[in-house]
Amino acid sequence: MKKISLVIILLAIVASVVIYKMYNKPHRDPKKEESIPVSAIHLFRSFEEDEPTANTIYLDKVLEITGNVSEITANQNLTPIIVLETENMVFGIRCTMDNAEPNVVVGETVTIKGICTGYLSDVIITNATLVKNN
Amino acid sequence: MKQVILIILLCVSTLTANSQTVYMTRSGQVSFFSKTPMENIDGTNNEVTSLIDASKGEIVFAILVKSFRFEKALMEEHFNENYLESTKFPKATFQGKITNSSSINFTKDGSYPATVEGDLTMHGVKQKQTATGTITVTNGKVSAVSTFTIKLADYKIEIPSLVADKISETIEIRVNCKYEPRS
Repeated sequence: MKKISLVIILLAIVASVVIYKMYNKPHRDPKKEESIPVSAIHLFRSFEEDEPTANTIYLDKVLEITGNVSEITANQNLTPIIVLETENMVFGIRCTMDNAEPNVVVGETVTIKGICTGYLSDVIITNATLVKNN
Repeated sequence: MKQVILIILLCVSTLTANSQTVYMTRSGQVSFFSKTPMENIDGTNNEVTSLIDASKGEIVFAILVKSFRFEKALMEEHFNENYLESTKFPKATFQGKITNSSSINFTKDGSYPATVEGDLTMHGVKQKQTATGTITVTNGKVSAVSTFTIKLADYKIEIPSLVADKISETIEIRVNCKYEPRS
């Protein structure tokens, strides 16, 4: 009898730990995930030409994008945004950065890793980090 | 979806003609709140594209559902996979008119009450939606704030009975966008 209640208590403890861990599971960390390497120009062209197909390849995936910085700006929360140049005159790859002020200048070639959330005239990348300045 | 992009492109291409009447942001903020006694859930999207064409009184929003960020990763996962099905429906859009745009002077600093009517599309469902808010003009820049509620059932979003006490049937949407004039 005692053994059974001990087992039940143990199971209950294990179950609550598992549920607690699931409830508090950590956010995705793009730095630790495997990524798809792609150039800014190719990425933009894929979405411009065929958005549904591009979504099946890139949506929600971690991408490692290489391109030229065309603009450094910030969103309304003052989180830095790096825009990578494409063949389009107006729209580009907009990367919302995870870290503080990135150490890059306009015109520089950089590689940025982040999650692709889709195409809104710009291709949007979130949780982005600078992998390297070339 | 294609329409919205077309509208955005059209507006951008006609900018040279009437440069001061179009206001745009590509990093607007839209959040949503679900409040129940059991749990409060809120998610924020900081990558909202929106345009106001002041001369026509038109306002457009385009949102990527996967750009919403939540306090808890599990909430984000459920939001995307179970409720909004963001892989199948990656975008939410709003296309509408400012019904009282004649009483808003975009060239004069001030705070103007605004009513917006239009079509809100999310989860693949298009619904008529009305919202009230405030448009503020400061030094040629325009900001828009609004809070309104939507019913999940109207957008065919079903909440399993198991978690029904944790997720509200009506969701509060908050819009906070700071626009720049296109020149």
